[in-house]
Amino acid sequence: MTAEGAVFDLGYERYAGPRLTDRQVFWRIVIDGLKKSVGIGKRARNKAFPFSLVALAILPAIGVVVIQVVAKIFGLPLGNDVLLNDREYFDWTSQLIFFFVAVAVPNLLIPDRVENVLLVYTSRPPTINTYLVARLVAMAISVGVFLMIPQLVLLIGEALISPSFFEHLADNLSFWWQVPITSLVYLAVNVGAAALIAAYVNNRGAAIAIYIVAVNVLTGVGFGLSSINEYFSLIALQFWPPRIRDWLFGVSTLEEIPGSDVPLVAVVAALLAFVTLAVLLILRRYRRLI
Amino acid sequence: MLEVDGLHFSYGDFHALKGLDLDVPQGRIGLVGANGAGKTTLVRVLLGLAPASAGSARVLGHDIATEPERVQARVGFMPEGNCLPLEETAAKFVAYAGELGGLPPNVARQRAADTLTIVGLDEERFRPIGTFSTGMTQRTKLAQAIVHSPDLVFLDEPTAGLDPNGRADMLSLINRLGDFGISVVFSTHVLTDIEATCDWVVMMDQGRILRSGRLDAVQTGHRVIAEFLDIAEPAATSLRTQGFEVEVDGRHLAVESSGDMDGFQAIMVAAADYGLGLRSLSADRRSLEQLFLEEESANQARAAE
Repeated sequence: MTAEGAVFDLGYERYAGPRLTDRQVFWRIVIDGLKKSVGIGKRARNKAFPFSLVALAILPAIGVVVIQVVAKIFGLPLGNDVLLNDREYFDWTSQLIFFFVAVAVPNLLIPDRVENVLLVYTSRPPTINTYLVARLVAMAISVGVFLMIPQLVLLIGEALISPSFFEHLADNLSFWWQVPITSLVYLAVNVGAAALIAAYVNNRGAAIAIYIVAVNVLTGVGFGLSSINEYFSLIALQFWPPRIRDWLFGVSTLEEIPGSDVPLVAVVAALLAFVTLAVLLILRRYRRLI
Repeated sequence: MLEVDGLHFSYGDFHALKGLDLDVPQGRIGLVGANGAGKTTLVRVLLGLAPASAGSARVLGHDIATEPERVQARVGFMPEGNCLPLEETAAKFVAYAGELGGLPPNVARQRAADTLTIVGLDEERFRPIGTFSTGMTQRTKLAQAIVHSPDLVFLDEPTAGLDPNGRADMLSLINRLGDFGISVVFSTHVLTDIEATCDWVVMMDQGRILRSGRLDAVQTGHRVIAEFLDIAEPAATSLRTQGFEVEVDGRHLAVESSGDMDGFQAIMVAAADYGLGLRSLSADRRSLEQLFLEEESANQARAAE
């Protein structure tokens, strides 16, 4: 036995083990994007805003369920009307998602570009298109979860207090296509606009401000000009999702809003044209960078 | 390792690379040239980040135009400017860079820690990169370039902005890359850095290759210098009659070997014929800077014609 030891410098060792496939690398970028969009891995102040919005989105759903439970326990007459249905819930979450996207999208796109980290990414197998698609998927997942979770809380909560859990779910089968498609429309409009601005503005604060001001100004201008011609109301981006939502849910709640007589097909066409243009402009911007 | 054939690249009307031909073996390759010579553009083309407008390039046996992903899977890149996320820690970013290079997450985390230790960042790796000094930033950039175990790493001006100690440390790290089994393409305009680290040099100027070859061969060339114990003129006269180009300065003499004319042998014969004592006889090893300036001025003269 000896008390002496030896220190070995193993130095740099070559790695010869298995490597991630392209698809696995793609999902690593998606996961990184998801974390960045809600501030995971960052300081507490970075998480405060997105998680506060998520809490604000879910709380009314929980409140509705709790009120129904209490009413049921104490036999209070609530009638058969639901306090807040899934269509109406979008009116609440769409306000929150607007601010969530305003902050999350610039956080996701601008630092990588301004700090030139894209050079590191694209010198490896993922291409710039892979990067952009992965960022979009990350945004879609986080916004989708944001919009869907409160709706699921509402649906499952009501199912739990209904006489038959499965019967309630069976009666609400339309939920499974109405809510996801409506969420997709809100996602397309909000993320499309925010990503387009974030692709061309290099300052995060400025990108957030421009997005908020631009969307609201377009809404005001669109509705203002609709007195000249109702098709001018299509300038108001925020008008598209509720129009499509109402059609999906088979109701009409927007008669008082200017431009409500514009055919739905024109709204859908405007949405598709906007998303296509946004994607092309974003790709053009990023291809010039690399 | 690098095979380039008639490579052209243009930014609009500006021709950054003008028909490059290169064949470079594995090892530590110095890519030297003044600012604007086309070094960074060549590196970007070889990485598949910029498509060549004409010609072809193969890196590690793969055509960069048709198999860029196979090249990128085996190379690392340390860009010249900033390329690091300032809010993230070095440990986290280097691990993520490893994952993008194909390492499984657990392996990437372990290798990030090991690699950052090798480049000299220990506890600092848990600090946000935005708080790093220039030297620490350069080390982090090197770590992200080698974390995924590439066969070849492109280093674009890795000593830029470093103080003398930082520069010496970085050059030492670059020298060690060869021991790790990683070939290096080291792009810089600092010629002494190339002399300190590389075994092959590629000189560029105005989008053209001036010279490419083993560093010792390039520096040595065909020039032989001798110092005699007495004036060298008699030996010089003899050498001139044999067809050598000779320069004489007192006891010093220099001849240019060419083709099958061996300057060493000729000087020794001339010294023996005239009974001149030889104090020294050696190949004229020119500095890279001297050589580069000669090649550059010759290239500019050709371009002016």
